[in-house]
Amino acid sequence: MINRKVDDAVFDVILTHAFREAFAQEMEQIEAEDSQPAQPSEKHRKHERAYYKKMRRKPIKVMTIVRGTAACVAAVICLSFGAMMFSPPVRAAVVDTLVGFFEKYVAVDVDVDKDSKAIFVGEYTMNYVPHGFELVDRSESSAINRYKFSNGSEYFKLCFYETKDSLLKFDMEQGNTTQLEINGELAYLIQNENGYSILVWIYDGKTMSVEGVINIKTMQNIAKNIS
Amino acid sequence: MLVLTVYLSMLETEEEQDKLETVYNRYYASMRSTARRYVGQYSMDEDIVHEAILTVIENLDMVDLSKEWSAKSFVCTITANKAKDWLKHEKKFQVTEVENTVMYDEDIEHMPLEMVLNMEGYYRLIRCIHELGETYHDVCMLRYVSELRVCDIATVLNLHQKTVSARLSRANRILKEKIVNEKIVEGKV
Repeated sequence: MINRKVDDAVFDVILTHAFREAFAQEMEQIEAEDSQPAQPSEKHRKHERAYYKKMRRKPIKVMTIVRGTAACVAAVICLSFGAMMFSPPVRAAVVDTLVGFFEKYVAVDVDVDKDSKAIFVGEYTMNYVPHGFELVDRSESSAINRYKFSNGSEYFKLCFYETKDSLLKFDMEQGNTTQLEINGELAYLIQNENGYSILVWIYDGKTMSVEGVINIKTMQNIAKNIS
Repeated sequence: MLVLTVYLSMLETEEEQDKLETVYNRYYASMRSTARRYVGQYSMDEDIVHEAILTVIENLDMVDLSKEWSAKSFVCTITANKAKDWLKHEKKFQVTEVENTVMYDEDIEHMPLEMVLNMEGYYRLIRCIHELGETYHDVCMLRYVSELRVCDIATVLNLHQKTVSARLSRANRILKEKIVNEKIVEGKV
């Protein structure tokens, strides 16, 4: 004996070697006794494959559901939105919303009957012209005919649109849209804070508008008396 | 090799995959033989090896491939432990705690060292190790052959650290006791 600590350390070293030796002998005996093949059986392969799939499935399952749900919701929203955009009032409402956000212009859907073959430019008659107003300017093109009337201090413009798009855009900031009826047809009145107004309606399958800083009643009379 | 591929896919880094592949190729047969020794009669050896490999995967950083015996003892001890756990669970195995009842005599504290310093004593010590109870076998193998720390042994065997320390200490004392007793018996004979 040298001292307790050294003795223990030496004994531990010997013990370590002895355990290694014992383990080697044990393994030698185990391997010698065992004559069966060490490769996994097909049954066990299946079991392990199933275990692996089960283990892998758990984290994937939640993510798959989340992704799938998100994709379905996105697809439904896109399809619904696309379908709704085929409807002119919805399309106009969408554009109006955007306009309201950006405050650039107001959109109305005039829903022109595209089957109509009528040609209107120059063939329509204004049966009512407000007192004192005269035709001061005209501009005619294949898309739009404009007729400007003035009494010296005030003016209004009468427009006939030759457009195949049912969505007309009017440059009008802070515009409020009201629905009216002109000769039994739907019409839109757009007004801003400065008193500038636009009345849009359909007549004979064509879109028409009167705009300017004039009385609303006067505008309606103009619209009602075009033939 | 399909089974190995399945195991490899559980690991993320290439380094870990290489390590497991080496462990699998080197020690699968030994693990299987170890498992058969305990549960071969119940045809559970493959399942036990599978469980053991999963534990090895969880504690792959504890495998030291540079030390042949350390790695082999690590995987085989885990396999043996899994097999014993299964047997315990199935109530087909009784842990012998006879050694625990051996009273330790403080007077022979320093005698064992002198007794194992020669070859005869050394082989006697190995014999005593073989006779060591199942309770202490795995803990001692992991400590002395695999050179694991107490906390690592506790993790691998799913035991409390204090239990591992107690078992190591008791195993040490039991071995000393056995050496002394054997020597005495041999002397008498």
